Amino acid sequence: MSEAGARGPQVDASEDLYRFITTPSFWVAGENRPSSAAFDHPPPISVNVASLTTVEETTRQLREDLEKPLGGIISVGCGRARGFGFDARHEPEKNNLAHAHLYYDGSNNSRKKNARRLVEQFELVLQPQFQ
Amino acid sequence: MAPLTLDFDQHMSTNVDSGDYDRWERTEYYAPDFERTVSQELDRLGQLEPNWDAEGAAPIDPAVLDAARTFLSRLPENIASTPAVVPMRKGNLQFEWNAGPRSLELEIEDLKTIHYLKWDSEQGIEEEDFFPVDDTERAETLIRWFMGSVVHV
Repeated sequence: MSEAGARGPQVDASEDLYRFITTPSFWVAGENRPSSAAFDHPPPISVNVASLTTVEETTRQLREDLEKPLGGIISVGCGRARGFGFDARHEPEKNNLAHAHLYYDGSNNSRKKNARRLVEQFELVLQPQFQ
Repeated sequence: MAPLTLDFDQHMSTNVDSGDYDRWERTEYYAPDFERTVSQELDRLGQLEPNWDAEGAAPIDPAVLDAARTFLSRLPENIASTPAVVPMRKGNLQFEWNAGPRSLELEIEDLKTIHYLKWDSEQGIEEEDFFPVDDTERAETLIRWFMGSVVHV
């Protein structure tokens, strides 16, 4: 887990970021949207930089690497996220060169509303299949 | 569990032809499974292993679970529909109510503090603040605000 001074390079604001929805707790089924809890920080929030991967590869990671076959994938804009205090840093992992972390740098006094504002911007990439 | 009751808040007319109306204000919400469901969910959260989200989440702190149970036990009966009990990645939890554009999140941020979000995207409400976990009146006010938007017949 990187500290502020040891973060990777900033992800470009024009990028889209894929976020896994790995648990039903992070999905508001009745509204077909993520819970703001999916963007709770800390710990840093794992995402994939869209231009460095594909939906197919990200789906494979979800189902095979994370073993979450019923999970889903959403997308948020990096620039939008930054506007809400979420700093995206490219921090590749051994088996995932597209990996980045979102760090929330805003005040705790507005942490929840900023997470919810980010949720309002999401686009659905892969529909979760939670029962 | 007490039955659903309605307070007759204001009676103007029953003659629909005249354009007058009856106004009812719901003061209770009958959710017979509230206690059992929430208790089961808290038990489930207590069993979560480290990395339960497959992305490094911490297990839920047993002391937070106890604080959540105590918080709920102080609420009046029949105040709300059953909330989602949502584990948070840093090891705490929140209660969530969602209905279209309106949401209420009561996060047990630590053993003494509830961090809440009162949200209505249609009304432009984005209220976030903190209150002591034993301030039942504040919690009740927030829950009644949310439940005021939910109509079940």
